Amino acid sequence: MTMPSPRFPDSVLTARRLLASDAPPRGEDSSAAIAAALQQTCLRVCGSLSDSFGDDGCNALFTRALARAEAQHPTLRDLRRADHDTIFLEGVAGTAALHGVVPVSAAIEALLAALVDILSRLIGEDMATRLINHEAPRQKGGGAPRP
Amino acid sequence: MTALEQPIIRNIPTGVPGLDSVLGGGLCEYSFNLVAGPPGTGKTTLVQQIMFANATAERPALYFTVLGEPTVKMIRYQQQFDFFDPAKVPSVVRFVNLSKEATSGNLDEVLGRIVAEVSNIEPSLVAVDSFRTIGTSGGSWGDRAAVDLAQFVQRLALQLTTWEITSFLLGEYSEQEQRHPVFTVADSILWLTEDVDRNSAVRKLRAVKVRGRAPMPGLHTFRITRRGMEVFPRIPEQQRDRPPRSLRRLGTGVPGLDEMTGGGIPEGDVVMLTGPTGSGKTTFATQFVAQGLSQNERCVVAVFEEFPEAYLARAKTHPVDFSASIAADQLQVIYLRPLDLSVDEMLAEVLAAVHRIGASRVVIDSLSGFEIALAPTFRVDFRESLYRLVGALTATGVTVLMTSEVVESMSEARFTNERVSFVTDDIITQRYVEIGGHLVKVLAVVKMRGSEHATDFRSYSLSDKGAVIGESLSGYHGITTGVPTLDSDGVSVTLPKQPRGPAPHGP
Repeated sequence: MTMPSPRFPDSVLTARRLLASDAPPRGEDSSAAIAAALQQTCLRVCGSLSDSFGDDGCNALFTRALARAEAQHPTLRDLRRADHDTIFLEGVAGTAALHGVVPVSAAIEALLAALVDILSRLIGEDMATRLINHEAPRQKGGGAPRP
Repeated sequence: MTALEQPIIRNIPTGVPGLDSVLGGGLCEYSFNLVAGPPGTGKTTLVQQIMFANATAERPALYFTVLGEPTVKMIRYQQQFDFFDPAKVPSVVRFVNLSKEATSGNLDEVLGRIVAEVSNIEPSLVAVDSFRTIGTSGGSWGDRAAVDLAQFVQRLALQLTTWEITSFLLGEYSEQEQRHPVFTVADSILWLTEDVDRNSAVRKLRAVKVRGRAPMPGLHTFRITRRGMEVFPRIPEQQRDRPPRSLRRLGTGVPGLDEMTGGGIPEGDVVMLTGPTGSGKTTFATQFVAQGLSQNERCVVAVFEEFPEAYLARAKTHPVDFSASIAADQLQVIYLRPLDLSVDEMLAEVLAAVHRIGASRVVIDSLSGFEIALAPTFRVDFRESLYRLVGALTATGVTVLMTSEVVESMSEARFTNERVSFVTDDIITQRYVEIGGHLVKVLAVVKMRGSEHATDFRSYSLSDKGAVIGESLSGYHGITTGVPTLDSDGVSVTLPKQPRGPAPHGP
């Protein structure tokens, strides 16, 4: 099975930009650092989407993106929880350690590209990019802690 | 406290056409508002329209979604509206999902998250959609839960007001649920409903309460289009300030009719022209418009029985170029035929046109078509609807000519449509009579308020040049029976030639 072509070709570029923003600087790009950066990007995107859509909304988007990308990137199956309904983004670094940084980097890029493409189909490319890139504001003192 | 010491409560314009009038000027700043109604009545659209109209980078908006329509779907659908500015999301209008806190059932957690987000963003506008799901996710709520919810609502209102926020809680409440604590705490309650009657559905809004303002009472219809929501207030602003009655007379454009009416139609009057089908009502009304245009007056015509193109095509027989008048903003032809129209919506359209071009003459052609275009719920009280329509139009100083079809037999004369004639100043009626084996069109001026007028029946003719009044039938009696006879001492009357076949003009 091949991954369906994205309707929004820029989704791959958006995914690359997302990954690049967390990538370790040259000279510090050990496999472990790259793996940690991959995981950081996934969690950051998940955090942004959860902020707008809730945990369930974010999970639904990631789960569908996973379903689209894992056929070409079998390493992504490690991120699927046993219940098959949720995704385990905290396991990205471990998956990279197990399978190697290169294939997992490609897999995560495909996962994020699929995510951007799916969300763009639903709410438009511009809005999708805005919400994915949006970082939840940092807490000021005195506010209740974020869950 | 003296007037100088009173706190100033600033009005926030809603950005929803017509709604500020209903609210008594707009929303009170820092008010805690409830938008309630059944599903699908437009609560989310209303509040998002207000938010996008008011939110700025300095004064952002926070839109909390709870359990209900998933946010991704909400954004997908709301983007279809013109008011939804994607550039404002998420920096100016930010969507935050509260479903995790809401499903926990812990109201402190919900309040904590709201306060945390508010303290981070410092918004000027906050919405919680749907508020009904908070504290009642289990379905019903017992005594203890009710107390907790009441406390939660009060603390939330306190927090949001302290942060100087104008807030909106949206909820799918029914009329029977008004014991919910949010109804007590809310500064204003807007109730949205949808009346379904036979095949028509009409959306209505009611300002149940607006603290600190005098809202417009009653139910106000509204429509949701691509532009968003538009409210049609029952009592337009103009009705409160009527101009003094004018002594000027307006020419009708129908040769001979001005003489019958005592010099033309008094400016600012409401004239009803009644007659059976084919009697030339539209022709008379068109000549009334043409006469106005020839005098450099501006006119609005609301047509219900034909498309504007057809109306303009028929008007081409007049020396005045109607199409050129439209291009020059001297004439606006309004076509309203949706079958679920509200009187207020029609009135809003006509008033907008009157103000836009500065019209002094308005033609409604015809009341019969207008009544059919109305949703059934408004047809039931057509008299009341027409009363409001006419009152609002004449308050602007325009002269209104309405045509109305009456169904009559040859033996029974109905001078007016008694259901609607009470709102008029002047009545001109047309009818058919049979004279010498010919069907003859005659008319009479039944009523000219405060003015002398001819009382005799006169024949008239219709041709491709328009309507022309003929001679008096004062030599006849029994005209109202439909079969007049010549008085024994009467003079002979030469009746105008009537065109053969169907009348070239008229509905």
